[in-house]
Amino acid sequence: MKRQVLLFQAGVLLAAAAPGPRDPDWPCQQIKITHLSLAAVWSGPALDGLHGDWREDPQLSDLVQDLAQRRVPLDQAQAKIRAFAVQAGDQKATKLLLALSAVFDLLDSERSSVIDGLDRFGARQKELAATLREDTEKLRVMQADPASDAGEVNQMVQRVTWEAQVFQDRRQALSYSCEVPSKIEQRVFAIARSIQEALE
Amino acid sequence: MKWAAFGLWLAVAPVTALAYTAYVTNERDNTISVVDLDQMKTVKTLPVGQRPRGITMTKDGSQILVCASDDDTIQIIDAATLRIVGDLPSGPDPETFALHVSGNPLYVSNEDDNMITVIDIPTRKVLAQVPTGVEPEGMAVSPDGQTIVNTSETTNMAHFLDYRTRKLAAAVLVDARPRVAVFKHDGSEVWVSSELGGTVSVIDPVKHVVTHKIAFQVQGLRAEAIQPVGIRFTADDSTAFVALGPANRIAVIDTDTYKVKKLLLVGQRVWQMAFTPDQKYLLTTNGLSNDISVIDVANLDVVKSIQVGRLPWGVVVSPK
Repeated sequence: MKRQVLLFQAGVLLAAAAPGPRDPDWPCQQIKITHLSLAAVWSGPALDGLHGDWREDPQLSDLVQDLAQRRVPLDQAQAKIRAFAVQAGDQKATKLLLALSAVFDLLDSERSSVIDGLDRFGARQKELAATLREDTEKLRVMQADPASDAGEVNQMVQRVTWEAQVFQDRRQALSYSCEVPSKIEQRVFAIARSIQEALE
Repeated sequence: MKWAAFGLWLAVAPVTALAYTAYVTNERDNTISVVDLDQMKTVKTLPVGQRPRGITMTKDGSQILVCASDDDTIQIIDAATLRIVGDLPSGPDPETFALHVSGNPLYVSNEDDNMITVIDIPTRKVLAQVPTGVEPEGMAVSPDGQTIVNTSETTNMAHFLDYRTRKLAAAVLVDARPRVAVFKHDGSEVWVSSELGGTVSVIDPVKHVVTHKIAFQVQGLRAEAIQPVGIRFTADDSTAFVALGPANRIAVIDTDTYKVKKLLLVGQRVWQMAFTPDQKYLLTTNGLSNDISVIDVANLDVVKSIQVGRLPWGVVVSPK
């Protein structure tokens, strides 16, 4: 009975892990969008054609680092934008646009690494699903055969149980990880909006 | 005296004209945000049932109706006390609904059992259950109450159902993943948004054919980021607003030419919309930035964003 339940659970897990039609390795429910578009967060002045390197301006560089680091809480980041806007004087517009351009690139690149990581995770999870499916089938055959060795059957049960457990643990961890690209997107949007407000 | 009174009226009018309240369902928080449109901020947050999505108000503004999808019910909230005072027999997994133009009955789309449940609001009784296409999603009722349109994600069709005979009158093919269907106020057209197809189909509700297809382009945005969902018409039907999801834009469309005349950057993953009763403002729910944007309808610009709960889905503004 217990084994039947186990097999049933494995079946449900595998069904739930069925990948979408668009990208076979993508493990998240969210639609996979590999790169952010500036146009999705910004309708202000154009950012191409800006002159200057944000890394060469220590204050601008500090601002960019603070804005791009997700561990700096958003309200603090927004306060830094407002403070920077005040002290930048007539350089305000140029510098804030440079900051936006830099933060966008940094966060987009961080987000892309997360997406790549999720892809690799999805591929590994698919391999594990295939193994689990094979082992479950082997177990079914062994259990149906009266000549099977009881010790071997038992070993197989443990193996399938363990694989199913790992599969499920990973799947639970995944729901949080799948939110990370959105969280980065939220930060980019909020920063762009604050910069827009500081420019007005 | 008369002039003094007139002066007083002028001074008071702008304030009273804005004193509307908006109610926003927060799908992830299981709450409703109560937004004072005079102060332009959230003044109260109410716990409601699980996964609140569709929201509307009774015509007299006395009650708020909320689809608590995961609780398989529609909750009735008293607008004066903000207490839950009862529920409507919605059928399973109510996602969205449409109120008849007269204020009654209510047509509810049940995604799980492929039905539309028609409910008499005063008696809280089911008047009819109408079988629909597979997985009904968006829903609209013609101004005369005789035609129900529901969109089906599975078949990529808008199903036209005759209310009197409860029979399918026609099924019109639209682009992938149709979401929202809305009749123009004059009943002459039904607009259906296709989230994956990235288009809006304009359908003649008598001939049951697509007469126009509206596509959207946002410079610098990939086509897949443009996912049309919510649709609203101004009272005179001259202008339509379409929410473009993760494009974070509202498209403003001239309904004579079917051309997009402006794109407004609002919040992230913009979903549904509601006008204030005076049509001065249009509110949008932005699912990812957890706020609502306030659009000035005459000037076509975004004047404010107001924080609400997590994953705001629907919005309604009190007629009072």
